[in-house]
Amino acid sequence: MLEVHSLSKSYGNKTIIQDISFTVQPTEIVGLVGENGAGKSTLLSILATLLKPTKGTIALENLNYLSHRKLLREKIGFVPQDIAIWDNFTVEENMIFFEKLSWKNKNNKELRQLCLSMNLDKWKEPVKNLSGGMKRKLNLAISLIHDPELLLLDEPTAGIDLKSRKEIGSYLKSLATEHEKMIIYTSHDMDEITSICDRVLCIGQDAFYQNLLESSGKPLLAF
Amino acid sequence: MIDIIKTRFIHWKKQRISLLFWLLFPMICTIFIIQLITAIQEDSQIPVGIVMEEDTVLANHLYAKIKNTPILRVVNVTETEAKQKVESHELDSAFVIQEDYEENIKKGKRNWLIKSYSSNLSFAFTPVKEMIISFVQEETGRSKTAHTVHDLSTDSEIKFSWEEVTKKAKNIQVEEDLLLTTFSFANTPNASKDPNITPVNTWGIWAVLSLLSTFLIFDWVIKERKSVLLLRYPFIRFSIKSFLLRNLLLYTMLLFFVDIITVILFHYVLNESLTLAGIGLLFMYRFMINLGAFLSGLMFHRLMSYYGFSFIITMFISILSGATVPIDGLTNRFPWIVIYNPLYSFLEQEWFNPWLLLLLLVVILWRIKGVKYNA
Ligand SMILES: Nc1ncnc2c1ncn2[C@@H]1O[C@H](COP(=O)(O)OP(=O)(O)O)[C@@H](O)[C@H]1O
Ligand SMILES: [Mg+2]
Repeated sequence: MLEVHSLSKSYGNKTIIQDISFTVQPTEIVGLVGENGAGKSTLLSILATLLKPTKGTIALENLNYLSHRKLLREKIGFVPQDIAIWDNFTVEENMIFFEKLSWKNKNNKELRQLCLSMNLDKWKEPVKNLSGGMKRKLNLAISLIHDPELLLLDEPTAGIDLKSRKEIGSYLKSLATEHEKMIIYTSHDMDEITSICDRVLCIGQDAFYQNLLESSGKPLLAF
Repeated sequence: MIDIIKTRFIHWKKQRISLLFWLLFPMICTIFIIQLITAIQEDSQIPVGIVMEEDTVLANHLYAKIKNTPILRVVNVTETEAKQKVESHELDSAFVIQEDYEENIKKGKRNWLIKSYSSNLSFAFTPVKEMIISFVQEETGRSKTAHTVHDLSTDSEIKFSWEEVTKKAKNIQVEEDLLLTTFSFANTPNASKDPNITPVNTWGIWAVLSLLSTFLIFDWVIKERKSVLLLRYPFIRFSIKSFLLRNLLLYTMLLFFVDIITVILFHYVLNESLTLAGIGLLFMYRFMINLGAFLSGLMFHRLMSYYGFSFIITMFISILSGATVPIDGLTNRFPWIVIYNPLYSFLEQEWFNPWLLLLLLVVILWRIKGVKYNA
């Protein structure tokens, strides 16, 4: 379980996140919405231990973020907003490269299976020949090599075709329900958010998203 | 570490052409440059024709002496050919070791031993002539002494033959020559003033070239710190610093392996010496430039600025070390320039290498600072 308690983040006197509290249970997918610059990426970075909050406490499976940073990282999968893969490698080489550096050992078959499970079947293809959707999938697959409990995704479906978007969505859904993961992800696609998320967290003061969400009937987490 | 090696191999497999090129570049380029300089030197020798009219010990001795002069390229010709080739300027000048040369020397005759041909374009005729005359004079001098000793000894019981005395005199001279050579060898600056020996320093050229290639090979330090990929490092087993340091170690092993091949190759192709001490110094130099390239890589974020910096630093150091442009004037006035030159320890075979220690210290500090930050 992820517990966030009165979390705030400010840069200088500019407050980005103000007093947010929520919990996420295994099997749950939480959507993160808000206008550009609202602080979605900032919140994900804090939850990924990459940034320190100004105030508040966070704990994952009762491990406090302040005292167990290194240990927590083994339980967290972070999918960056920008695609972080080796462009000159093939899909296979990318997977093997990051597996060698990972905490978990996986053999080639398992790595390949991981890619296939989200319909990424171009195993020997150089990454630079892949479509945007395929790259996004690989970006996600690499973050999953060490079997994290908590998966944080920053706009994993931004700028890709509808088919890949659906495939990633349904893969996340199965990851949460079948493998009991906690998933938090951001997106600008309201249909996608409402169809796969159990709950939605709205960041920022913009009434636009709140109205949209209320009409969709999804339970809101915080304002 | 095995895992780091495996990930490194994926990279190396991708860059095999450029990696191989830059690994072999210093070694091959040095051999090429040295061969080229040798060829040019041979080309700039003065072509001189020699006509041998007799085949005696003394005539052959003179011939050998002329042939061993580095600035001359001796061509064996007949007298007719000599005239012809000097006229057509194919030969700068020609010299005839005339018949009865030995006989005349033994008799103490000093004139008409050598005949010469030259043209109005024989720019080297006078110095070459002077040189050959001095060779001949040595012989006549020895011969004269021999005659004196011989004349003296006719009355006494001990008899020296003419040959014995000249041989003895030659031996003494050879010993003196030997002394002279060792003297100039031990005192390198003097040796390089000898116009016959161009100071081509194989390892100096190699040191500069491998400095450049090492910097270019170390662009991985920048490529693998690309901001997007930095986000992956928190979620792998290694901290970014330990990841980079382990790769530094791997690259050092690879490059040192190539260096060993270079030493062996230079030994067989360029007759460079092959000693354990030399390899030790080479390793220190290798370690030093790797640390230098590594730290430089850490200072830059853009590849282009790093490449620019690599070229500038190589140029600067090669000028400083005098490997490309002679800077004797500068170093005579400011001797400390020589000491601050990073190539100094390697090229002057000094075991104390302040640059290596300095760079090592900086890398250690960088690493320790990281541990504190991570905690
Ligand atoms: N290092 C920083 N210093 C100051 N302001 C920052 C810094 N990083 C991000 N911000 C600001 O924080 C706000 C939130 O950014 P971000 O989390 O990227 O928004 P989102 O992902 O929702 O578009 C932005 O207004 C941005 O300008
Ligand atoms: Mg963002």
